[in-house]
Amino acid sequence: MPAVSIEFDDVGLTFAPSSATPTVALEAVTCAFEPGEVTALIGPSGCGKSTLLQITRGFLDPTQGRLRFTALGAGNAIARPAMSTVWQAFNLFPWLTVFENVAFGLDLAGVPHAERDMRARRAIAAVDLTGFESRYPRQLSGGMRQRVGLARALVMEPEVLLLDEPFGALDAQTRLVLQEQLARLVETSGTTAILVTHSIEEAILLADTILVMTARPGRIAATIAVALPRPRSMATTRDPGFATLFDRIYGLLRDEVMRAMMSGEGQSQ
Amino acid sequence: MSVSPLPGDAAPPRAKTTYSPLDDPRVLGWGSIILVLIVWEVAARLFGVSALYLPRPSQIVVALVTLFGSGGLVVDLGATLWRIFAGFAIALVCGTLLGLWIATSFRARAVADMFIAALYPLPKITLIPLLIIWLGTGGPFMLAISFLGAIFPIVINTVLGVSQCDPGLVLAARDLGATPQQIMRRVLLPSAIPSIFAGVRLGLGVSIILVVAAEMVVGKVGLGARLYLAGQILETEQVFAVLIVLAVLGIIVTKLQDAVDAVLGNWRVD
Repeated sequence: MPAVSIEFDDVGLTFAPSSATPTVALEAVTCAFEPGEVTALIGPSGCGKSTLLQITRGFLDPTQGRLRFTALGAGNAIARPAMSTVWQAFNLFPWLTVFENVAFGLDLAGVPHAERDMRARRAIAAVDLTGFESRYPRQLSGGMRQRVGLARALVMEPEVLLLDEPFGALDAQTRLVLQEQLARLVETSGTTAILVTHSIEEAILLADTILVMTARPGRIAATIAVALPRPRSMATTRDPGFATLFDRIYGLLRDEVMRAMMSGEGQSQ
Repeated sequence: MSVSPLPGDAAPPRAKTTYSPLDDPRVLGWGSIILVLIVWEVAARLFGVSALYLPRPSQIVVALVTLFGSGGLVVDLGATLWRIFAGFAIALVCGTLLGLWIATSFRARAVADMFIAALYPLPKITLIPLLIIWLGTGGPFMLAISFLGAIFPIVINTVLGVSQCDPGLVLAARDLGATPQQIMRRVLLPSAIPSIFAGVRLGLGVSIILVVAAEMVVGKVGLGARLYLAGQILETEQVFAVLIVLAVLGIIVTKLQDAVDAVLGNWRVD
């Protein structure tokens, strides 16, 4: 499975363009998501990070510009690759067990039972949930639920993994553990990943590249490469390089967040 | 200085240390029924109430045994149960499918809203004369009346349940490659099941009422017919016997629904 890159070429999205009050969610976004790398999108609330993710996934169509998917080494554009999303609200099916949740996508695709069970069990083991297969989501802690969400996405062997503020609903300690676990999983899977986050720290720990977005209408304000050595962990936060990056991104974000707050857009999401 | 317990305290403090049978809801429930029966029996004997007005529980038991043994009450019960559950089963299948369709199609919803608004508040019992004109008084009539009793609450609750499905779950299913049909069958329907079941509870109750009422009007067999006939010939013990069978039927249906609810509650979000 060759790694896939995604290019946004002058992509914009305007909701209700012909109405009296059109909302410009994204404007002239040109950026690239490199194959096999983790790219973090960071920006003030309501800047269109999640919209950009939905466009990538194909759930929203841009009103301007276009996307290009390329398989590494192939050169030509390809159709939309296999993608899976990990959601901030987990979005697990409450009437299904952990195992059934993880096997859900394979089941829909008609994967033979033996293979389905084997892959689901392997994905559950990868997120350290072996032994919890027959539990229901409500019987799990928030961190465990999101690990199920992660297993449910990874079991599909996506070429592109979309992470929509995956740790936004978790407490700080759980988030740290999951960030390290996710970093490990993504490093080994070779999938292209897009991480939407509010946390500068999370972006630096997980990403190879960080795209800083402006307040609405969302544009790319800066592209920052994270050259810190892997594997990264909490120890990385004490690296002097980490502090430099953090300050730089914070500087960029502060202006945008202030701008968003002044225009009242920060409350809209 | 002694502190008086707050008014409305659930249980006296000593209940925590010593067990009293009066703390068991089942003992309280059954015990109070048995107590009422004993008082009834004793009072009826003491004051010499005529069995024409109020037969004693012992006389009713005798009537029950006789009716079940040789009086054909089994046939009546079977006929009534068949009429209730056959019509109800058709209503369950049709109502769920119809509800799914209405909840997911803008046009179907616009049309159905009008019909439901017009027909739902109509007391279904008023349809009995019209249904008799159309269908006669046989099996099809009984099926129709049971069906009509159950279908509205089931449709309405299915629509409600599907509309309240978390949109995040639909997105997650789409993300995992679900087709619109798969979303309907594997996300919208299961997420609506608790609500559908609330409709089943209401609908089955209405079906029971309507079938027994219809039997009283036109039936030759069935619990309602038996009840009406016994009343006509002043067989008060038989009237009570049929009422008891209906009450027991009600208890069994309610308890079965509670059991299904407990199973459904397994995954319900707290």
